[in-house]
Amino acid sequence: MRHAYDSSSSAVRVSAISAIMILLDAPHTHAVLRALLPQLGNLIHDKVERVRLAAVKMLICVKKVKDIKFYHVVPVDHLLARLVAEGEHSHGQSGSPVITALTELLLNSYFPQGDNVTGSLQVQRTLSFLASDPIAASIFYSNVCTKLSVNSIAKLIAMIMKCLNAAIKANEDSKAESTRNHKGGTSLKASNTKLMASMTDTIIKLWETVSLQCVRQ
Amino acid sequence: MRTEEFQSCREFLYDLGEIIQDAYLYFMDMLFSHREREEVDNVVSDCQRICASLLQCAGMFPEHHLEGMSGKIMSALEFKALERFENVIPQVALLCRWGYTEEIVQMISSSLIQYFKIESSQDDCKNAKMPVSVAIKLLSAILEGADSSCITVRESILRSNSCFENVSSALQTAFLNVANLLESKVSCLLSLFTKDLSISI
Repeated sequence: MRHAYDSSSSAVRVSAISAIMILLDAPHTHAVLRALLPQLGNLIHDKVERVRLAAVKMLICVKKVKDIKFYHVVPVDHLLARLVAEGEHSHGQSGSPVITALTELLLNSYFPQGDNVTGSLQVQRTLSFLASDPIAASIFYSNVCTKLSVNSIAKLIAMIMKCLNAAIKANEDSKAESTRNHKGGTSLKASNTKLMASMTDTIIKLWETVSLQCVRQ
Repeated sequence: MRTEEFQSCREFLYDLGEIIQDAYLYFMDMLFSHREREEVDNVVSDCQRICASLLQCAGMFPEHHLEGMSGKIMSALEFKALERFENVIPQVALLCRWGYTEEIVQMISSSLIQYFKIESSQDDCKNAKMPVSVAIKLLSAILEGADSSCITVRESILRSNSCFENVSSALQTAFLNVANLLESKVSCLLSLFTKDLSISI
């Protein structure tokens, strides 16, 4: 733990994190690590990129451990702030390894997948992310192509576009002033232009990644 | 990408053309109504962002898939109210993607030439399809803009020799006419000034 904060060498800090990742493979260490890991949380803001990357990779390992929640090690607002800061570092260019790793870490939270996951749940998560933190969401969805199939991205584009259409219809319909987006979800109205703008920005970013992949083929 | 994956991806996206067109028209209306009420708030910039993104989405489709959209955009570019808009480059970029570069260049050129004609009458200016302020803003964005829409328009103009020649000769004509106009005004002012001076002496 002490080595993880060795200010004289970033290589030592990375090695300390790697050692923790090895320890995470042993289930009997989890009880001890659960209490200690939050002390390493601030390493995701380290000034050296490879330390930040190692910290995010450690969180990805933590995510696989049933007893420890990665968002208890690093709070979600720190992870999103890191995503925004990395986006600023890379001047909106995708491909930064930390952004890619953070996207992988957060993928299931903001774009859940699996047999039991419905499209409406995916849209609900997407819209609430866009509404709560549009800048982080924009960086996340610009990089989601590295982790999702083209089909999943196309499906997501279609779903967000249909939500946009529903929001317009809801606004036009004088009887129903707003439409409830799924159970207990936020109300979706075209008059919420900030959210609508985030939605269309996301759509075009996703679409560009799809067409880029088509061109590459 | 595997062929079957590409096919199913196309199926997801193919039906969105109509939604894109309807949404674009809806947010354009919202933008116009806010502008008409002289409301300077975030809604206007949000609507501009929405419309620009939707136009970029529209550009992913062939023109025939969004029936009537090019006509609506083209007639909007002739609309006098556009003078109050900061940015029409996304509309122009879409039209260039769909092969209307020559028409766009013609609109810009004729607007510039007619407005800066030495013996221009009010009627001449009215005949220009695109308001001159829109044409100048557009041209400046095309020449120095760094976003993807500006690059699309700039590249499509540079690809066509006739478009490039058309726009550069219009600029040259306008420049010469403005220079002549200024020269005549300056000499007129100078003659008035010397006249005044001789009277006072």
